[in-house]
Amino acid sequence: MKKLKVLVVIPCYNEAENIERVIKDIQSHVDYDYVIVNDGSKDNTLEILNKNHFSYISLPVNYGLASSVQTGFKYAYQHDYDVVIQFDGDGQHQAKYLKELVCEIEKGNDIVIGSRFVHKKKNFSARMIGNRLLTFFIFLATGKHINDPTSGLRAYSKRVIPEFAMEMNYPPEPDSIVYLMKRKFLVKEVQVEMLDRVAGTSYLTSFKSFEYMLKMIISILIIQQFRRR
Amino acid sequence: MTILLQSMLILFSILNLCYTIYQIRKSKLHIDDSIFTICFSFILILMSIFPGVVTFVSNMLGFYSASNFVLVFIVFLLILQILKLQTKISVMNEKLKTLNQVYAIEDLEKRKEKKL
Repeated sequence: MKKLKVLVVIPCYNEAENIERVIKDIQSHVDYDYVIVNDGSKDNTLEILNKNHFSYISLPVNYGLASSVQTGFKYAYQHDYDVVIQFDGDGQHQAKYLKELVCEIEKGNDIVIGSRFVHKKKNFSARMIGNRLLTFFIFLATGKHINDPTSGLRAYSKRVIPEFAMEMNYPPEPDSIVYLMKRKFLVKEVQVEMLDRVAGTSYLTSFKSFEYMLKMIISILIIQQFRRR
Repeated sequence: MTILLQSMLILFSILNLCYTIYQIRKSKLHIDDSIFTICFSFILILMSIFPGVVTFVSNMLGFYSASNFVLVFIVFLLILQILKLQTKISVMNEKLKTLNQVYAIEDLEKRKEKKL
């Protein structure tokens, strides 16, 4: 079987303290191509990318996570990659699981999610209650269980790359997964461990999380039901 | 609230919802930007289905009639939306300006390189 061409897309915004560690981790575990998408960082991320001669795309203006990931998808589409892996630049994801994700894509799945909760139970923090709610609403909408819908570690097959690269309303979020599941694409979860954030701060504040949940619930329960199949 | 007002609100909200979803289907509207309209429509529908609650709140706040309260409520929501749009336009303008500048500066750098 032909070896799949894999691109690891690493969106990063103000991750100067983490990005070197992330790339080292990837290079020590796999020999996949990678591209960092610098989303108009305001710290010295760009300097560090240049200094280390990393492969990167630098967006001059900050446009959000969805736009950075889509930039990676566009690059992958133009260079005919078979698999795109979305991998956070903050050091929470571990590269030792990448091979497993690609292996599941080889078996014919379209989206493989690196999930924290395939075998493990969620705790009762506010974040995990939100996670549970999303799992429940996804079950209502599709009849299938996604244990970790908010996980940012995902692999995408060649069949879905053009859609994510070119179409509107394909953010790398749970609602797009619901849409693809409704269109009979195969989604699979693989158990992974994630690390706690070592440096920097997460962009999710409590008001933003509320907004995020509201958006996801409306999108999953209403909007995705009426989108073109 | 009169039955006429209630049914008008419901009809308007349903049309609003249909149009929003139609725009998303045609890839002409971001899901992010549709959330307000969808919430707005649902609030109006709820207000028309439970006029008792609306009358109660409007009496509490001392409105002359429930329909006045409904109008003021809608105006407030719309003002809120205008404020949000205002900031959004400003941010977009700023981003466009930055892009424009980055492009122009890079163009100068390229021309300099050619001359060398």
